[in-house]
Formats: sequence, structure tokens, C-alpha cells
Amino acid sequence: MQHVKLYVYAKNLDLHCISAREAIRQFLGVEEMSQLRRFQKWELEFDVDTPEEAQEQVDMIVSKTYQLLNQNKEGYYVNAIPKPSYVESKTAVVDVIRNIGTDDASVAEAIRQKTGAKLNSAQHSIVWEVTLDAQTQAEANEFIQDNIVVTSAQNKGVLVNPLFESFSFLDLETVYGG
Amino acid sequence: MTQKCAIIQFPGSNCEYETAKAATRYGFDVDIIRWNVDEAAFHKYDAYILPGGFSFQDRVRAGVVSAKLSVMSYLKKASADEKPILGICNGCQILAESGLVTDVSGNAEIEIALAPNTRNEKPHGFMCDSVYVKPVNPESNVFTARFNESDVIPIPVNHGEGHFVLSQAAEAVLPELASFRYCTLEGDIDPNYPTNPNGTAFNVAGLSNKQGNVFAIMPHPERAATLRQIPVSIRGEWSEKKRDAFAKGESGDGPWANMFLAMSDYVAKKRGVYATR
Repeated sequence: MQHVKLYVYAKNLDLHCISAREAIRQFLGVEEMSQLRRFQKWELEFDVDTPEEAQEQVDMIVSKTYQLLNQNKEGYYVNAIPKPSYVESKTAVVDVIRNIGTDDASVAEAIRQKTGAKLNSAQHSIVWEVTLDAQTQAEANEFIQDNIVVTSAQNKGVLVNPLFESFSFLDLETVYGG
Repeated sequence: MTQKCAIIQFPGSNCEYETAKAATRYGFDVDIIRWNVDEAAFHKYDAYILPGGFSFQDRVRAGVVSAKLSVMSYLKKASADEKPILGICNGCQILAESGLVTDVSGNAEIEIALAPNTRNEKPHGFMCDSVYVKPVNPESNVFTARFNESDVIPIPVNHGEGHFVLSQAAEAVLPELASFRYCTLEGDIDPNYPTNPNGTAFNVAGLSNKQGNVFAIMPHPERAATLRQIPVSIRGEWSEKKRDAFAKGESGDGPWANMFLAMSDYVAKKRGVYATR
């Protein structure tokens, strides 16, 4: 069994990300946030023995279907995303899962039907990489959670509505591949 | 004196003109104002409507980007001044994301959300249909005051994210709030599809704030404000009324005229109260 994390990004403009950045910096006035990136994340489980075989499965799926991404306008990283070169900033990576109105099992089934992939399961989430001017990582995480992530009031948070979405901070070494 | 209503046009609104037509028909002098209106100009109105559409293309989540605009802080002040505020469809989503409904805390905290449509807990996608709703506690909100609990009212519905999710605080006060609930033609609140078209909690289609001057509704009252807008194909008294009226060469008020007339009643009464001060 092999597990793969697929990080999908927009090759050109990511309009969701641009609007989120605008809402956070301009409308909420959180100018401490210097960078924002967004990825769609798929956690895939394949019934294969080696990482190379899993990579082949991923390449085959994305070449045959648009279920995970559309290669005309989207690219992808496997298992890790490139570490940003921002200096003197603190970065947090937030993984957002929607708890209502998703059906990842149907996506996995559609992929199996279309491609014959040895795919056991697929789970979708949105990953936001938030970079902030802060002294410590703990300070950054707390600020990001309270002011950027959790929508608790009209003037607080954008990225997660806690009434039907949940989130977690991802381990940076894992996300950036050490 | 003319009653003035502002319809707030966000980038991506697309129901502002038909909403203006309905509000005009029922007594308001209507202006369509932009999301970046200055505050002094904003506050000269007696009532506000946030129309349907896809503001900011529903980016991130439906309504969330618009909810962060300065105009929403002006709207909070208007709500505190007890002015009537109606959010329809995307306007409903914006009110939810800004905390103006249900506002149980009084601090505009986020207490309800509009999640993607579901059917049997699976994604159901965008829906476009004609459904029935009935009022609950209609006397508790400005916009529902002319309805009766025995009413069963047809209304068009068009959205991808209309599944109300309530916080514990909102759920606790739900029995006291004015609301519309999806129901059968006979008025039964059946939680199953197709009576409940999107999986929404407690069949809620529209919901009041605790104070009773703000109402957020996912279906489109402005599209059933006149008899002309009612499909003859739907079952119930309103298609009969349309047939009868058209047979006589007449048109007339639709089932949702009462929502706009109730807003007009409230503004007139409020002005009367002010005149005696």
C-alpha cells in the first residue's frame, strides 16, 4: 500500500487566492500577512508496492481524467511543495476539510472506472500557505488562526467557516519535504 | 414622505434590477447603490436589500469576501438603528458570513452558515426549482409580519450553497425566531428530498435575527412578487389565482408581495414613532 499527497496549484491566476488575499489585507486590514498561496490537496491510497509505482499511477490518472486536476490550467507536486524563499517571515500551512457536501468516495470510484487505477481511496482538502511578519512561529500560528483562518465574526477570519469546515496546521517539514 | 430603499450591488450581483422592481411596486423609492458607496450616502436610506447573485464569483466561500467589505460595517450600524435589512440568496449568504443573522450574541458573531446543497448527505450541486415554504413565528420579524402560520407559499429557489447550518446558540433560539421552512403543498415539514431540496437543517429556508429587523432567505421572493411571475404549472391556490386573474385580463400581487408590503409597513410605523419624539 502506498500513500501519496498530491498538491494541485493554478498555473496562472488563482482567483480564490487573490480574493482571499484582498479580503484579508485590504478589507480586514491584516497587513502583517505578506504571502498567501493555495493548493488543492488529494491524499491518495494506492494498492501498489513501491513509491515509483504510485507515481506512475498518479501520472496515469492526471493524463486520463480531470477528476484530480486539469493539466491545461493546473500543475501538481507529489508529496511535498517547494519551500518558499521568503526571509524573516513565519509561514504556517493550514489544511481545510469541508465536512458537508463532499463525496470523495465517488471521485475515487469515477477514477477507477475511467482509468483502471489501483486507487483505494482519495480525500480532498484545501491547503493554504500563509506567511506572516512575526517574531516566533507560535506567535504566527496564533495570529493566523484568530485573524486569518477562523471566521468568527464580520471582522475576523476568512479561510474557514467552523460551522461546516475543520482545519489543522500541517507540519512544515513534512509539507516542504524536510 | 417617500420611503427610500437601497439595494446593495456587489461585484457579481445579478438580481438587483428585479429586486428593485419588486420594492418599487410595493411603495419604495429604490436606488441601486454600489458596495463601495461612502458611509454618509449609505445611511440616508430607510431599508436595505442585499440581492442574489455570485458576489466575487463565490470565491473562497459564497458570501465571505463581500462580508468583509466596509459596507457591511455600515450595515451593522443600520441594523443597530433597527432599520430593516433583507438578504436574498447570495445576500442571505453574505448576512450569514457577516454575523448579522442570527446575532443571538448581539456581537455579530458567526452563528449560521450556508453549506453546499446535499441530498441524503451526498453533494447535490446547484439547484433551480419551485418549492413551497411556510412561515414560523411570522410576527417576530419585520419582513414576515404580514404572513400567517397557516400559509403555504410557492417560491423559486436557485443556489448551490443553501444548506443552513446552525451553531448551538442559533439552534437554541430557533423556536423563537421568525423563519420560513420548506414544506409540502399540504404544509408538512418533511425533512426528506424533494420537500427539503438541499439538506438544510430543520428545513430552514429563511431566518430572522434575534432582534427581528434582519431577514436572510435563500429562495427568491422578488421572483414571486406578482402573479405574472407564478408558473401556471405549479400546484396550489396561487396558480389558480393567476389563471383566474389572467382570464379576466388582470394581473395582481403575487404571494411575496406581503414581504415587501411588510417592510413598507415597518418603515412607515418607525417614522411615526420618530415623529412623536
